[in-house]
Amino acid sequence: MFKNPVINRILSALFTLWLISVISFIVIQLPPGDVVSNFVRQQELISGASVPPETLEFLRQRFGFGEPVYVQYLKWIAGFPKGDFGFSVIYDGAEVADIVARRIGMTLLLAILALFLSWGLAIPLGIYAATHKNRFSDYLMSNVALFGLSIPDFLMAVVYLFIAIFVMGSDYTGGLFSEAYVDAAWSVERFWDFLKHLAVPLLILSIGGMAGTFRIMRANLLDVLGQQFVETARAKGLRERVVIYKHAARIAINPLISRLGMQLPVLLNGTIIISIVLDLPTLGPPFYRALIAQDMYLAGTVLMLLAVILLIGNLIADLLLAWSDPRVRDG
Amino acid sequence: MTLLSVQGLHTHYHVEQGTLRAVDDVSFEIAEGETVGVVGESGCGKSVTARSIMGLLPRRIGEIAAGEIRFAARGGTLDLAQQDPLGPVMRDIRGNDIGMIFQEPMTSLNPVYTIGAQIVEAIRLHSDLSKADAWAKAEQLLERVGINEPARRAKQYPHAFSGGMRQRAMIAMALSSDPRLLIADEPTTAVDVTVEAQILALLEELKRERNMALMLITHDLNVVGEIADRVIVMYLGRVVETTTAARVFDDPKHPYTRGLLASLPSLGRRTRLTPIEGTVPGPHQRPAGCPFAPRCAQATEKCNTQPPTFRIDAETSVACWLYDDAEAGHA
Amino acid sequence: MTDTVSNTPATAAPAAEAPLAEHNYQLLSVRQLMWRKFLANRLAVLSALVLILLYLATIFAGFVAPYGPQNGKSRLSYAPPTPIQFCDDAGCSLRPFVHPVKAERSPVTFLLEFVADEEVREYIYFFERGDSYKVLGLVTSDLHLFGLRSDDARIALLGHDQRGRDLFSRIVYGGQVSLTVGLIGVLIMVMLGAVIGALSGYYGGWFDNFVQRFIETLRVFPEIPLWMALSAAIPPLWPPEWVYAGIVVVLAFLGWTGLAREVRGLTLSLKKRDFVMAAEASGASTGWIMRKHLIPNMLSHIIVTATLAVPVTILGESALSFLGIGVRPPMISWGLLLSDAFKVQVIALYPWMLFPAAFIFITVLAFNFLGDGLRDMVDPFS
Repeated sequence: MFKNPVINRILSALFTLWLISVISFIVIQLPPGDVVSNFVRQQELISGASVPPETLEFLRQRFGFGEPVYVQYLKWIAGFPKGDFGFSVIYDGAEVADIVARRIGMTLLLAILALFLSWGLAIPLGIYAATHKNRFSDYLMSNVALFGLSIPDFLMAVVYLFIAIFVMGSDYTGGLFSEAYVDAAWSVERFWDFLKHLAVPLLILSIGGMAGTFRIMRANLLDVLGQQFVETARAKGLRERVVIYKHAARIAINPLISRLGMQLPVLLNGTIIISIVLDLPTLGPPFYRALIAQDMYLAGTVLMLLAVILLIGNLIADLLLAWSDPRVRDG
Repeated sequence: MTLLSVQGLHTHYHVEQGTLRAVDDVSFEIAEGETVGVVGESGCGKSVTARSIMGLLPRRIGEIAAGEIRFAARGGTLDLAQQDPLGPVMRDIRGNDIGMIFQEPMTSLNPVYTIGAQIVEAIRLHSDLSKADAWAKAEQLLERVGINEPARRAKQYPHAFSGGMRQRAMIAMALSSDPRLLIADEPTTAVDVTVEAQILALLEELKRERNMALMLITHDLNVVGEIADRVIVMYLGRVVETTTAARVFDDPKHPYTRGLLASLPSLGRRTRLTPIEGTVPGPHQRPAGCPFAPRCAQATEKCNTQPPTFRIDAETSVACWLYDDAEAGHA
Repeated sequence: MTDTVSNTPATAAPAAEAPLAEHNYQLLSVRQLMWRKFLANRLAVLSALVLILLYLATIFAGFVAPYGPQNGKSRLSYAPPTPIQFCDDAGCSLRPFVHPVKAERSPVTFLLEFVADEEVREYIYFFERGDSYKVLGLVTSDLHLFGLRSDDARIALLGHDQRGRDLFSRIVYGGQVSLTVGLIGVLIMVMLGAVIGALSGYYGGWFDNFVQRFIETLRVFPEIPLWMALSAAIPPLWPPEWVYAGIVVVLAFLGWTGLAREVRGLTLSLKKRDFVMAAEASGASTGWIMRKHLIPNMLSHIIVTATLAVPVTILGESALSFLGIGVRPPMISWGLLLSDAFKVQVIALYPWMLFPAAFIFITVLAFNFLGDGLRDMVDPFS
């Protein structure tokens, strides 16, 4: 490989990007039959109208159906620079890029808010548990965290639906807006409605991440508290609070940052699946519907996009870690 | 004038297997400007004694069960054993009146803060210096302990320093508030022999220059011989012999001290090294009488009861029944 | 425990590095320490017992379940649970009984409602004959742990589903898929991960490079969407057994990467240890070194990682089946049973349809506690 670490890093990222597109393309090719025939069948099923032959011929040309698989792959990725990722069967032949563009923002918003919420709660709790090691509160929190880790997001979403409808008797059936506000312009009322709908999905998403982050923060901090420099800080005469926060917790957070790369996929997983259950306007529902209907360009593109998001997330995590830890920064 | 007077100190460690008497009735004194070496094998309680003085016993595990630690401060004396280890009084003593350096220079400094920042933190904690003045003082201190280009070095992180340089930086930090007592817990165990000599020379110099007392904890009698005025020999949590540095080599009294000396290699002596028979018993198999009796070649029936400390003369006292005929009396 | 106490420096040494550096009280062998540590973790022990019970119930599903999985009565569609009772208005009995449910038209709403028939006591008998089944596909039997003697009335501890089938029986049978998917999937993962990871770490070079890049790429895919995509590609017309196998392969396809990385790291560090170098120097073959030195040394790590991978796999299967792209009827899994509940009016009117969720939860929790206990156990000096 090359000597320069930056070039190396970029090359390996490009290689990973290429592998991601290959795997996504394999996923597109997996179901039997081609997407165009599937489109024709769906159109006839839904509207009874048949697809005009010119359109059909154009699509066949564009995606290289009937040609070898590698040609199809090349024709598919050839469209990327122009923002062309294929067309969707279930959305009446709409551009995949358009469908995805409309929902990517909410997907990221949910995942990132959940990340902040889980860190914001888990880090202080982890610090508390570590500084109260082996006391009842630590024991209780650690085991409750394992409970949190063990409840899958989709189960929580189902249970939430049950509670919302059966216990509270509300008319909530999912989504992020009440009926009145779905198409309304942004206003204070609409925003408030949005927040109310967002709160529980966000909480559900955060619980899993929180439990994991809490456990790691606690373990890290216990590890750090046993190190010599903590005693040095105490020997200086610093307050215990300063010792814990400025000297110990500051370092215990670093492994959390390097673990972001593992936490982001979990959050995206959760976002996708609870969006399916609660019908939130993220990439989850179209992805699911696309898979069921074998609308493979849509499904494959969403999958690819999620992978690319995580790749970027990993990169950001690396940069953050280098910023936060001088040992990493100086190599 | 007496700076520190430890009387009848008992420090207990509460661990899963029960209570350990880590320090068991220890008494000694340190005069102003004096260098006292505390010698013993690992597990003899010398580090626990130092931590008892500093109020740095592990929380909820270590506890001063009885005894006094009188320290001359603020125009009177203060019993440190009575203070809350996390309270304001102890915090003001730590790093201000008593400085401490540790065995592992590689891990004694916080890896995410610059050397300068860590020294400045200690300076400003115990003085009203402005940030700029504190930095200037930190640089002076670094220069004093033998670090070249202190201005540049102060801005570096610990990982850019070698072990010997880190130990120098630790010394600079411990000296930042001109302490009257410096506790050095095995300061040279983890560094090379050449560096060891430099560090010891530096400590000796600094001590003279500042009329500071030095409590040097070590397992190496040679280190003591080089710079100490007086020597305290500990075994299994007890002081077995207190004497001068010269006498420890010429006229050791306690069989254990003699054993330590015999197991010491020295230049120009072509005798066979004789290790002490047996091993240090586990902390839960502490002998009922004299702790050294099971390994002692001169043990008698009498040794089944704990010997008191016999004062041989003004400078030497020893806890061994062999000196029964000398004037008996607790120090 | 007197025979375990020893004074030799060899066993006393390891604790010297512990935080309380001044004390050596390491007097037990590593194995004893591990076992002690495990037993001391009461939640881990309890979890192990719960899991043993669940797996036993799965092996003897036919015996534990009072009815066959497809045995339903349409008139009992969505009938509520029949609680086990010892007492009613007519007095008490030592033999437990249930009041069978009967449909009655509500005087208020005129809708058909199920009520317990207080007049009738149906006693529960143990070791009753009933639907026939096969144990592990070998022995045919019709003996059941418990059941009613009446042909007409039915016992349903957790209620009935839409087709009037006993939910408890279906959950017990569902375990045959839900509980085994995790184990078999993880077994495949461990084999793939251990072999690829060990080879990658041991040989290094271009092979290691390629494997690492590939793993890196697989790991940037969020697992649930990739699982969904792969499992949606399983042809709908495949026989259920094939679909089951397909799901297991899909779940294992992503899971091996974590293990491969861990094993690779361990191999790299072990490779540098003296005993492996000594074996190499004395001319031992690669296979020999792996079998005799590397794998045994990594076994504890592998077991812990594998234990913690089981719940992830179980959850994966549940999620897929719940979404309708996992196993398909007539196979039963907890996720699939739960998907029956996932219709708003069903959850609202027949909350007992959520019981499969409790089984998923308990199983996953037990595996997590067990894995946690095992992890503490293999690190006995912590």
